[in-house]
Amino acid sequence: MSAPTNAVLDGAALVDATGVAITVDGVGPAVHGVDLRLAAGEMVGLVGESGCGKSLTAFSLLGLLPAGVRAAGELRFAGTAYDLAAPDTLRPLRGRDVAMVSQDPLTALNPVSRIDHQLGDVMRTHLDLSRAQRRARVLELLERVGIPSPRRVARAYPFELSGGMRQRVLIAMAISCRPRLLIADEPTTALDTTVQAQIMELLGGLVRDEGLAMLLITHDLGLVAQHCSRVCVMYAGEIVEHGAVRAVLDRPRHPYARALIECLASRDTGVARLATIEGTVPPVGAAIEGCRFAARCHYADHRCSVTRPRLTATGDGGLVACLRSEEIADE
Amino acid sequence: MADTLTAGTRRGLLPRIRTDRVLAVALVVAACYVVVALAAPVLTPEDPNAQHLLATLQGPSGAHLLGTDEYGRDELSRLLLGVRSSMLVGAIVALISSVGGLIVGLVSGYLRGPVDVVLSRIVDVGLAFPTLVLSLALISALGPGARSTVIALTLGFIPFSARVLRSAVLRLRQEGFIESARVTGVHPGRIVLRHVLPNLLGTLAVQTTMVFAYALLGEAGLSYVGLGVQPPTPSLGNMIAAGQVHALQAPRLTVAPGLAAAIIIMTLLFIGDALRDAADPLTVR
Amino acid sequence: MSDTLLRVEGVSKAFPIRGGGALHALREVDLEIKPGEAVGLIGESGSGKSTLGRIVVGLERATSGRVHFDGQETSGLPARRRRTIQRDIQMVFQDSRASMNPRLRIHQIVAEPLRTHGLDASRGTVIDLLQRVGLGERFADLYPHQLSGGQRQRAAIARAVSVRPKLIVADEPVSALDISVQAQVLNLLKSLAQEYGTAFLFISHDLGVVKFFCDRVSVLYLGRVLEDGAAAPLLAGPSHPYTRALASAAPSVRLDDQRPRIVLSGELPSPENPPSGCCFHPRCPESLGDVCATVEPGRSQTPAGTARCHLLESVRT
Repeated sequence: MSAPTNAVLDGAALVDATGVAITVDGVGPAVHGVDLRLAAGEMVGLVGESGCGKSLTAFSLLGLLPAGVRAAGELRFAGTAYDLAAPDTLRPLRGRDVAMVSQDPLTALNPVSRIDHQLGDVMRTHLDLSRAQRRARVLELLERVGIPSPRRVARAYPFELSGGMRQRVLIAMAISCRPRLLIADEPTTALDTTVQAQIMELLGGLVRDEGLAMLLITHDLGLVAQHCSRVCVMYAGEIVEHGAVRAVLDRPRHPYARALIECLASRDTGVARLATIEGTVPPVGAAIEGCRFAARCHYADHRCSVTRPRLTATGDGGLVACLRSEEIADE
Repeated sequence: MADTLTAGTRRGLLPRIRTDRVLAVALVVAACYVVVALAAPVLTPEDPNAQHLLATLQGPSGAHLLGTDEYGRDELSRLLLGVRSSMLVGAIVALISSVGGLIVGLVSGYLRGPVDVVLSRIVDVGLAFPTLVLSLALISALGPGARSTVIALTLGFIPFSARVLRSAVLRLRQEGFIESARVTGVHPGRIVLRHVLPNLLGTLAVQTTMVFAYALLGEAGLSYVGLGVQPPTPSLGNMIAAGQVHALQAPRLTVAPGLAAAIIIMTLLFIGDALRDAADPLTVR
Repeated sequence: MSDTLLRVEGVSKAFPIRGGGALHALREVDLEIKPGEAVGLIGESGSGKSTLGRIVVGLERATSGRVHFDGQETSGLPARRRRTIQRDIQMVFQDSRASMNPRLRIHQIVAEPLRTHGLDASRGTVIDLLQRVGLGERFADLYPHQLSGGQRQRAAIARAVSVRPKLIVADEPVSALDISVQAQVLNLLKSLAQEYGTAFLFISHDLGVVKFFCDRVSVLYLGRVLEDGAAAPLLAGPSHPYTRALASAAPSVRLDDQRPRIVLSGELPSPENPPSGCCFHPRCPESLGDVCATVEPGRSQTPAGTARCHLLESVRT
């Protein structure tokens, strides 16, 4: 799977991560060589079910893997190369050029510190601003993320804010140092549907108006369908399909992506039984010789359990890792 | 992902022992004390009450490993029996106050309502008095002696155990599986026995160990001032009191029982901490 | 006996809060479930949907209003009587792990309702149940934490159906699961519902799930039913502006999705102090102004059922 031709994105990439591999000590490899590229001003979805390694991949780009989890691979960010195996070298990027919005807006904020202090602290680390400038920037940021009364919220403690407001504050914090890449890890999972729509609108606006590159990590294909231009579908620690969102939704090449889309689509069509994917995801570290999805795949034949498929280009500019993708594409 | 990463952090007491040297040592020490407490009458080299008035305050020798006291009694034999009576008092107090605290905590925490209000106020009153002062008052009423010491300390520690266990029951009551049992229509008595109690054992073990340690301390204190175990029966507390008269000529007479008490109390507190970590995986460092 | 299994009439629930005042979780909610019918309860957090479920199963008591189950009023029933009708109402919780005693094995957990109600709780019966929900015999002796989320929820379902209840209250039963596993569990629930003729009160925030599973739905907002009716027509063409916004905000993978995207402003107001008039008026994109802010709208007929909205009233008159 080394260096596949990324047909969707040929221009200069802002972010180019190659061969990202992650191992959990005592358990085994969790991510098996993933390539990711993002250009400025695009939102890319990284989709998969729990345990597929999507969050670990994102954390490795920030050098923030938990203890006992090691990464390998290379990250080229705006032309400079970084070694993912040495997380300390990524520190200059963190918070400044690369920022993150996490799933849980409550635990990500310090409960005993006011919002303006927390925002100010982030800026003090990376930006050379006077006190007054910082204060002005805090209000400006809170307004930018759509908080109706920035002055009041600036003096509030996290517990005084609703979940949606807290997520807005976290986004303000993430963009406070004008990052070029924003990694959003399930940013709306803890929020209500109507609030989710607001937050996604806000994130989409940042990508559109300020030219941010954004990696949206989510289990929700519907969210990707509405907001992303490209999508990478992960399964059991590798990317199995990659392409423009419309192309992937319209004609998924990989049986897993296809099944996932059918699961969701069948809800809307009033069927008696939903499409499912039988079986379960192989555990992290499981030794599987051929395709990792073969055991659950309707289309698997004798080759699939022997030969590991590699990501190869499809006709419409995407990538797919399936031995039979061409045969089953027409079904 | 989170599941696979955190699965290794929940560890019981047994796997802990293998990696934690200090805990292993603490458990061995505690086991030695238990053996001494149970087998003291067999282990003593000499009759601990046999007086040899011609051989008082002798230093350590082959015949008397720890020397003799002011009446010429074998200090080692007295120490072993002293450990026995102190451990007995501590264990009985720990067991009874845990059972008492458990009953109060379960009734109070599970039934809530007026019963809880009444019991909690009584517990508050008990907590408001310092245990030792309460014990002193009780013993002056009951008369000094080992039995009074046990009664006084037990009554003093029940409120502590009751408070801790009540809050544990309140927390458990909110758990999904208790609600699930209620929805199913399970009888409240059975919910307590099958769902609450087994999940309370960790907390109970911690509490019992801690009370054991504090009861030992309490016994030593009461016996030291002459209200606890009465001479000639030795206990760690009354041995320290008896020995301090000769602190200058024979410091070992106070140091030996003092050290014996300090070691077991520290050991028990340490085991209590380890049990707490094992019972509640969230407090893992 | 009427043809209504569960009737909730004017149920309100207020939780007193420290420092005075009350949190109005439910306000005069009406709901009916016929035998074998699946009714969905849709709402966002703070809408009171879980509170209603907890009142129905008896974990909470309504502040006012009445709950009839199987022709019997359950709201004022003493604990002993309540426990006997509990056989006919079971519950499936969102968090399957929390809903199981970590110290019991799966077969003990599944057997509990059977044992409680004096039915055959033998190992054979339990294994039949486990197999019925797609778990093999090998799961019987495992502890809850040794199962995956989907497997655990299957065991929870086996526990709920073991006593053949007439009604199952399912509170977000699949929202903690992966999409592909959600589909497995939903299919299982639906086939069991059909096989046993069990009625469902299905609580969810996910419109897609409700659309698949339910015959009828009620949409809750700040403790009020804003719209109810037959599931398919209601979700395909909502009448209430809130339902419309909710439907448009639900992400869909359909490429032919041409719905206008409505993004509501603001968030759910505090249930401590619900807005006057129509409780949705501060966020309503179609608000008529004064009427909505001052007058509580009554129920109007809609193609799918009923809705509380002044817009619909003005159409009618």
